[in-house]
Formats: sequence, C-alpha cells, structure tokens
Amino acid sequence: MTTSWKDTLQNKMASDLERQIDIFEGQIELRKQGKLDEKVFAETRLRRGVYGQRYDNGQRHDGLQTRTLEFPSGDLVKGPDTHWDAPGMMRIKIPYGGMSVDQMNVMADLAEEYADDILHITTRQDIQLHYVHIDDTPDLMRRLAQVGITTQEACGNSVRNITACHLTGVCHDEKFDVSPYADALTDFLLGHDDIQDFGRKMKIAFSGCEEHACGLVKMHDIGFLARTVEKDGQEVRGFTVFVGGGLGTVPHQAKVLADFVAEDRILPLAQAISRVFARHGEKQNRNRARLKFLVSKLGLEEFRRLVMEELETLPADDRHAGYIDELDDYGEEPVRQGLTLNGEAVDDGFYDWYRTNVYKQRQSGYSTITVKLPLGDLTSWQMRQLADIAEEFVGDYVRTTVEQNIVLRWVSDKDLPEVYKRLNAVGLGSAGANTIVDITTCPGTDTCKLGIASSRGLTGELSKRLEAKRADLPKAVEELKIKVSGCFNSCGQHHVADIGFFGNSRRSGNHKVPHFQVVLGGQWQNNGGSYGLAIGAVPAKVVPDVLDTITRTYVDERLDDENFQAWVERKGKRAIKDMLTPFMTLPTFMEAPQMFTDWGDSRVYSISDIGIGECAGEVVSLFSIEISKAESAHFDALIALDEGDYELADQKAYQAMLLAARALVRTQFLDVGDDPDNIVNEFKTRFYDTQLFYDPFAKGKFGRFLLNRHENPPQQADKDFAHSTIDEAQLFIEATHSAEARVNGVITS
Amino acid sequence: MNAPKRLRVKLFVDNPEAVAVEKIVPVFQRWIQRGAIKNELLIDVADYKHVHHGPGILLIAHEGDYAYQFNDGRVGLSYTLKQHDSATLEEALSTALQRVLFAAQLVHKESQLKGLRIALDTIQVSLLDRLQYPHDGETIEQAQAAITALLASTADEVEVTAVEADSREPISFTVKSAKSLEHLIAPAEVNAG
Ligand code: SF4
Repeated sequence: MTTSWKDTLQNKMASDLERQIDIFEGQIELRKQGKLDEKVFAETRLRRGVYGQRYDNGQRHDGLQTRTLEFPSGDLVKGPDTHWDAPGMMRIKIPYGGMSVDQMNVMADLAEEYADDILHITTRQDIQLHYVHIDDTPDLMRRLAQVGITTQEACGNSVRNITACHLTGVCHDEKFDVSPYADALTDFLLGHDDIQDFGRKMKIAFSGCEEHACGLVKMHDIGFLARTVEKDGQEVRGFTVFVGGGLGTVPHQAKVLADFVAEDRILPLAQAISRVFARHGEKQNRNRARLKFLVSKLGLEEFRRLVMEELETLPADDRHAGYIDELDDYGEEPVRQGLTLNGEAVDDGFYDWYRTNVYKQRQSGYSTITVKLPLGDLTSWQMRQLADIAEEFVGDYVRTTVEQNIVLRWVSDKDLPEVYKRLNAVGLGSAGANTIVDITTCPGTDTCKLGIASSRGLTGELSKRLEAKRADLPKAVEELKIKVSGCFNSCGQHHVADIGFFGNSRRSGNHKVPHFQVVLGGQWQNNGGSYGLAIGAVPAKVVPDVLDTITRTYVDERLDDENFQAWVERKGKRAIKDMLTPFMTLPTFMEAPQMFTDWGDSRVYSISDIGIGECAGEVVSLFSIEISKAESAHFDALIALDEGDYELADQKAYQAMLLAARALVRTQFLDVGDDPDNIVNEFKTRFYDTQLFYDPFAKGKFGRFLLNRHENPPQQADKDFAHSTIDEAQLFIEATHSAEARVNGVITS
Repeated sequence: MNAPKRLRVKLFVDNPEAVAVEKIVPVFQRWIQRGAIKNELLIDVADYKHVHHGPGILLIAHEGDYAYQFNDGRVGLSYTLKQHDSATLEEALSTALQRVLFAAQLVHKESQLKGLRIALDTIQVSLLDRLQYPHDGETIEQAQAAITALLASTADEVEVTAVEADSREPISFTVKSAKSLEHLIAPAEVNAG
C-alpha cells in the first residue's frame, strides 16, 4: 500500500522542484533536531511560501485576558517567536493569475486536506490557504508541483508573484497580450542567483494599456506597460518601464525608468534592476529596504545610470531573448465556437449579472465573465464545480484577479445563460462584480499577524448592507470602488480606491476602540494613477454610517458627470473632514460597549488590567487635547497639498509630528517648551531610545520619521516629498496614540 | 485500516431557522474563554458565513476544528480531526465521534442557542485523505465495513451507507442509528468544561 505522497509523486514533477521540496523537508527535520538556526529556517520557509499566521507567537487575547496558547510543540519554533504547531498560511503563486482545470482541482483537494476548506484569492493573484500545519507543507508542495505550481519565492525577500491584467489578450484597449512576457519573466527570475540577496521583497506587474487599472503598474517596484513603436514601417513591441512604485505605509508613485524597452530586452533589464537593488538596497533597516526607497535615495537619474551600467556588464544568457521565438506559438484556443446570444431562455437575474459581470471580448462572439467571490473566498467544492464549468465552456483559460475574483475567459456568448445558471447553482453567480459591492479586503485581524482592525469583518458588513440596496444605488455610487486594509501596510490597496479604509485604534478610557482611517480620492484608473489621502479615523462600528454619509453627499452635490475624485477635490478636505467629525466622537465603554468590539468578533477589542469601574477615561486627558493639535496641523498639511503649496504642506506635516511628540513628552515632562530641538531631544531620550515608542512590528520606524525630518530638512519640498512627509506624519501620530496608550493606559493588547 | 490523515464527522441540525448563524460566533468565543473543551487547545474562531455551502463558523483547535457549517447545503455541527495519533480508522472515528457528540451537548446547553436541535442519531463521516482513501469501490467497501463493525459493537441497529458523490470528493458515509449515539461520549469528556 502506498504510504506517502513523496513515493507516489516521485518523478511526476519537474526535477528541480522535486529536489527543492526534498531539501525543504530535510530542513524541517534539521530544525526539529535543533540543527538549523530558527532565523535561517524562517527565511527558508518564507521563500517557499510558508507564512506565519496570527497568534503563532502563542499569545491571544480572548476578550477577557491575554492567554498563552500551550502548543504541544513546546519550545520548538519555526522562526523567532513562532511556535511550530501554530497554524500557518500557505501562499501559492499563480503567475499572472492563470490557472488550469487540473490545477484548480488539485488546489481544491489541498484546501480540504490541509487547510480549512477555503481557497482565498489575494490582491497579488495568489491563492492562500490558512490554518496549515508546517509538517504538511512538503506534501502540499509536491501535490502542487505535480500540476506545475510552485510556492517558491511566494513570500520572503524575493520576487513575488508577477501579476498582469486578467483581461490581457481579450481586451479592447491593450496594445498586445502581455501574458507570455509575464510568463517568461516569471520563469527567468524564479530562483535566479541575482534575486537571492534582496533586503526586501520585489513586486512586478505587467499591464496591457495605460488608462485602465488592471495591471496597476504604477504601484509596483517594477512595472511593464505595453507599448508599440514604428520602426522602418514595422510595428515593434516593447514596454514603458516604471520603477520605484509601491503602497505600503508610505506610498510612492512609480517613475518612468525607460520610455521604451524592446520586448527582447526586458528580461536583462529586470535582471540589471535586481542586481542594483541587491547591491545598493538597504539591508539593515527593513522599513527602508524596498526599491522605492532606493530610487528616492539615489534619485532616478543615478538609479538609471547604475542600471544601464549593470546592463552592459551582464553575462550573456540565452534565456534573455530565448522566449521571443516562441511568442508566435502563444495563443489561447477557445473550446467552443463563438456564437452570439440570440434569444436563448435566461434565468431570473441574468441581465443584472450580465450588466456587471460580463465583459465583451474584442474577439467577436466571446465574453469574459467575472465570478464574484465574497471576501475573495470559495470552498473546495465550489472550486471543483468551477473547474467543471471551465472545462466544459472555456478550458484552461481561468484567471484570478487583483480584485480577488476569478474570471472565465472565452465563454461563447451563446453559452452565457447556461454558464450563469450553472454558476448560480453553486453559489457563484452573484452580480455586482467590479461595482461598489465588490469590495477588496486584506485578511486583517482574522489571520494576519500585523492586523489592527478587522478588515474582513468590516467588508462583510459593508457588502451585506450594500447588497441589500444594490438595486436602488445611483449609478455614480454603484461605480465606486471600496478597498479595505487591516492596517497601514496597504495589502488591501486602500490607497487606490475611491473610498479606502485602513485599520488603526484609539483609546477611550482604559480601552482601545477599533478604528478605520478614511482615505478618499485614490485612483484605480490609469494603473493606480494617484493615491488617496487620509482624512481622519472613525470608530469601526460607525464606518457603514460614514460610508452612507459620504456617498449620499457625493450624489447630492456632484455636478453633471463629475466623478468622485473631482468631487473630493472640489469639496476640499476641510469640508469633508467637517462632514466626518461628528462620527469621530468616542463614547465611554459604559455608554456604548458595542463600539469596543470589532466587526464579526464578539470579544471586547482590548481590555485593560484595570477594571471598567476604575476607568478614568471620562476625564479628557492633557494628551488628548495636545494630540488634537497635531491632528489639526496634519490636516492643514493636507489642505496645503491640495492647494499646491508643497513647502507649506511639508512644514505643516513636520509640525504635526513635533506637536505629537510634544504631546507625548508632556505626559512625562510638562516643561518641555516649544523649541523643536528640545522636543526632538526629549522625545528621543524618553521614548525612542528607550523603545517605548517602538511598534511591536515596525519597531522604531515611525519614530525615525520625525528624527530624520528634523535632522534633514529638504532644500525644497516638491509634491512627492510633501506627500511622503504627510503620510509619515499620519503614521507618526498613529504611533503616538499607541505609545501613549501603552505607556499610560495600561492596555494589554 | 490505517487512520486517515483527516476525518470529519457531522451531525445535522433539525431546525437551523431557530438560531441566526451570527449567534454562533460569541458562543465559540466563550468556549475558548471558558476552556469548555478540555484536552484540546482551542485557538480561534473563523467566520466564513459569507461562503455558500461553506464551513460556516469554525472553532479552530490544534487537534481538530469544530464547525457550525453548511456543506452540501445541510446545516450541521462537525468536527474535523486533524492532529492525532490514532493508528486505525476505528480509533480516529471513535475520537472524532466523541468530540462532536460532546460539542453537541454543549450546544444544547447554551442559553443563547436555545431551541436549536441537533439530531444525535445521524452522522456523516468523511475521510479526508486521498492518498490512503482514494475514491474507489474497493476502498469504500473496506471503510464501510470498518465503520460498520465499530458502530455495531457500540450501538444497536446502525446502518452505514456510502454517500454517492463525484469521485473527486472525499469518501463519505451516512451513519443512521435507531437511537441516539450520545452514549458514545467518554466520561472524561462529559466532565470537561
Ligand atoms: S494590510 Fe496589514 S492587516 Fe492587512 S494583510 Fe497587510 S499587514 Fe496584514
């Protein structure tokens, strides 16, 4: 009888993958025997997509107290402070989102046998499985490898899943299909020597056109935007190459590294950029280690010079242009003839679904349909049913999307009613894809170790309420995009939504209250063309009311065809802030205990060791008064930025950090005065050097925002610089709230 | 037969309309606070109520997951045995049965879930292990015999039938007993919590 997947699948996968997985299994053994350092093992497993999950440090607040989870593995860890037996997350790389029917079936089995029966689509077109035990990961990888999937470099300091528009190849607006290029670059960089020494991860995306969002090249470390030029009467394919974009805590818009790079030169260019990043990128301070910081630090010109220099010295490699000869063979063959929809009987709801979920391909008679997934989730059973539908109607042309859905490409129009019926039967036929009800969300506090508020809980609630009134939503509202992140790290891509939210918290008395920052006016179009700015934080439980107020006011006030960004700009941040101010008031625990729990969670969000009865929170503290001055200065900075006065915006943002630091210092030393040098000095001595200001995960990062800006004032602040200072000030203020709560509020979590 | 890597047992809810699914979350959270299930490390609650025919609300434990779930469109309470040292299918099934039946008792005692009735005479057993339990006639026959033998020795008038399903689905059986199977809970478990 067969006893292991290793034996069963021997020689049934690519030999290099097989070897890699065997090595990893060996490393698991070594770690168990204490023969492999925990930090080395952690990086090793991350590079194979084996990720940590919330509570894997063995601590969990159960609503009453923080309890230790006594995992049977005892002292054995899979990384610093990460218990061996703690459930973890497995990230499966799906290059440019492309999945075959076989792959779908295997992933369905894996979710059932190793996870919790759920496949979760991420904003990088990956698939994640949660609650996986590390001992199961080698077999899980083998079963994936058998159908040509690797988890290698899905996490860790490496090149992450390379993404691309899910419509590429069928889109009306693209220059050409970018899929084979994304595929070639994925193959080329996977395991490449030049990407093994990064200080942080690198994210790469391809887009087929400039104006739409699908590829989001402007928010990537490297973005390839399809372009053609005429040369000697011939159309030549290539790409505009962007570098240094990224969301994260401080978002950066990518800059154009090269206007046009011919198709056969993009692999060496990516390799040269990787070498420059590995050689010159920050290694010690993780928080400054992304490519965007290197581009900022060196300046685009110098960065470009280094890349060009590197390009010239790259050793010859057949693979650089080897794939070009195969491009002509690349193409998708639909499994059914493209016939028009012509009087076929349709089920109830078909036309509503057709309006929002069906995209007419440029190939006549075919459509791409979006399978809208609530919170990016589907079950193993649903995945199998979807695989069946795909097999029958479209073959292997299935892709995940960065908005956490799945698309079926090449559906014959004539088949649309039948496909709709079949999807509906398995709970995958809901309408409203790509509209306001189709909200993107990161995992947040559900499973992410860094989550501050429940992004999934909030998304579930907003979706439920919006679905209930979807039929009556004005078109202008229906078209809006909402994106939610559980913390400032932006995995939910809240910066590029019309309405974005990211999780944080505030203190009321001796309790913390889950909050969401409201971020308005980000742009999804133009490949994530501009980022929204934070207006203010509101308690999580009032976010649905806040959303109602924003959308209602927008509809009431918009002029003719005015879009949301234009309305936000015209109305001005001051007026929008005024609109939100009534929602920002914090009740006491006694007044509204429900505000002290998060969405979808019955636990008290956080509780102090001091009981509620002894709570001193009803008295407004000196800190609360002082920090509000910092928040006002930050707000003034936003206004100045809006008005194009970048010098003033930068100054105000810096002042906001100073005021926040002063508020904190004055909780210990009332006579600090107003002199910036004194404030910074006292802040540094009392809070930064002592690590009282340290965030559990970001460490001293937020404190350094003030120290750096104080020591290195800009010669001249341009728009990007001012924008960055404002974002940093926002995070500094948040960190001040947290530090004050930690130091003075006796808060336990 | 060897114990499968994972095994799920599910009891069915007679009257799911009696309680809104949202009410399960605080109940599971309280079980964690109270340590309501001894000998298991209760970790967290996962909410998948938004997923059609999905795992519903999960109480994640190290040894196995409890779920108020909707698989196959039928509401039920299930236990998925994940980490165990059972050598045989019979041992694994016996452990899982005790745990799900005990959880059903806890549910019946919850004042917040008053009126919710879980039937204790019908159980669905699923073997989540495609390596040792591939979905073929021979394996189904052997597993069916092993499950029947185990239950016949502990309960009267038990009927075990294989659930007809797509061969990609895990092997499943429906166990029907003339009487409640509650007596299968070991005394140690009854005293827990
Ligand atoms: S945004 Fe924050 S909470 Fe959400 S997945 Fe990223 S790190 Fe986690």
